Amino acid sequence: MTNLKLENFYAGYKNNIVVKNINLSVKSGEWLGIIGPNGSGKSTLIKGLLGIIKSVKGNIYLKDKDIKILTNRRIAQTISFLPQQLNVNLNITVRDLVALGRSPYKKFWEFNLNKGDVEKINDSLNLVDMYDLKDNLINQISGGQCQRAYLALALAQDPEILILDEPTNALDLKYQIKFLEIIKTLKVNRNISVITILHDLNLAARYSDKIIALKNGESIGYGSCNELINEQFIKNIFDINALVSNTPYGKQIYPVN
Amino acid sequence: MNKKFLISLTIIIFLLIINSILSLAKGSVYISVEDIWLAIIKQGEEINQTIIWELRLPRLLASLLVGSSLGMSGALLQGMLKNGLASPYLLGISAGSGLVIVFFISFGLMQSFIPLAAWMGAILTTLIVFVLSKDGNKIVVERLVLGGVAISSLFGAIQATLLLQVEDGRIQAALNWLIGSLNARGWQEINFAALPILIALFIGLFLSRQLNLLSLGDELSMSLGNSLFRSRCLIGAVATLLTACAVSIGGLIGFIGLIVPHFSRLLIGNDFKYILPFSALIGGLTLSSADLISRLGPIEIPVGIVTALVGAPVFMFILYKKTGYKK
Repeated sequence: MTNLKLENFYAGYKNNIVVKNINLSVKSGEWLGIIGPNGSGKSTLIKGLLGIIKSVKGNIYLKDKDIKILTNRRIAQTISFLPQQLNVNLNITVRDLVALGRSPYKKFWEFNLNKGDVEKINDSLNLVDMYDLKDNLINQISGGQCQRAYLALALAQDPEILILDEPTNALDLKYQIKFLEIIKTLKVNRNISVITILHDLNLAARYSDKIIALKNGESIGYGSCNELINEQFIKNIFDINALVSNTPYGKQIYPVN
Repeated sequence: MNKKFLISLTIIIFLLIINSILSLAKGSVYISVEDIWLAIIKQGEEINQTIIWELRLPRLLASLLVGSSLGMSGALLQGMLKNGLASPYLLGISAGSGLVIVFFISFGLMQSFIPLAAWMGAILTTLIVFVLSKDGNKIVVERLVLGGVAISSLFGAIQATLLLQVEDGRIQAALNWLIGSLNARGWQEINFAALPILIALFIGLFLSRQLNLLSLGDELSMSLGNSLFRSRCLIGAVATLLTACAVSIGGLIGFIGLIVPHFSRLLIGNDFKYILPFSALIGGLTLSSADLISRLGPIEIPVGIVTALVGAPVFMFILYKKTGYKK
């Protein structure tokens, strides 16, 4: 089933359309990687489709429904988003942070978490291996743990689509792989759609089922990693020469000059 | 957290009760606890009944209402603006109501209308600041703060010009409002402001989730289904209503709205579910204690001076403790 579909999508800021004419769709259990050089419009595309900045024109369909007719809360019950900048200075416990993921399901006057909420929160904490740290304060845990706590927040939303903007930036090599493996497991087990912006092309190629490459706000390639990624494609996007080889973990890219 | 919450809550309520009894007992005439009780149920000596019902009880209630309003309003604005230096007066409320008060006093207009006029001045000024900060369907936080500063300096200049023209006797009255005082506040002011304050305090308690979400940052907050425009307008409206009502009773009492939320945070952590009720309770406790201190000496000093005199060193201590070297 198609979870998310963008048709002739334009987004940007006042007098500055950053992302132009984007068409894409993401199915259940599919991972879409967004790649492109700095300033190519990757974050703007995500912010546009989430309504954080206004889309200029085009259509977004969330599970075949026009997103315009859906309320913020309804959208938040379907899409979780983890932005690039996370507030790591919060003086609240990991569990209290993750509990905020249940907000889209709560009415204005509803304070208390019900049994179902507590189960979702505990499940999310367990999935990212943070249950034992649930009573620690966010500003007293490491960067990697913080990143996982925020992932648990996103998972507590019980999303069908998970959008991550450069989620591995603050992580060392071990946790980059560990973090992306958690998401891969989730994608398979819960059949959710995943959209990521990853600067590391090797990680993008390893985990994405398909990719969209942006340059100057326009799509210059959209399809499966195996079909798209080759030396010429990398040259077109990043203006560098690279070697591309097939490995058991998918295509690997070695920049040359 | 729940245990900490309950212990702190019990201590604060205990202190509130002690302070309320002291406030009713102390004054130029000392009234014993037994006589206070008799007077409250309208028995015992008539003079005691008059002192309690006409002077001390309304004043105690006024201090509790004003203190809790300023405490919660400060917590709401600090949370919304994500700025620990935000006070309830940041959005131009002090300038708006201050100007109206000085205007009424300098032209000798009906003095009994000052509370209502101060309230309207506060609401109108904040409305202007909010309208100025609106960009499409967004509230730009920087514009909100800078708009407040700009309006404050504009109205402050007009206020100062008016004060310079006023005859000496009236300056005293104006200063009493501008510094903030609970002297001679009675049922009239309370009847006007109590209901809106209680309603706003009640609604304020439900804004904790919005504030917690805002603390995550705009993008994450929005992706969790929170409308930034709606929550900022609602939080701003409740904070403004609380402050305007507080000003209509006690004038521009400083420092409570700035310090009390910090103190609550130190006590109970950063979850607004606890910060908001604690700020209201501690605000009420602080102002009623300050009011008690203000009338202990031979001459009564405006409570605004006491809150600033005690508040400034406490604030410096908190700043030092929060940013200083910790072993």
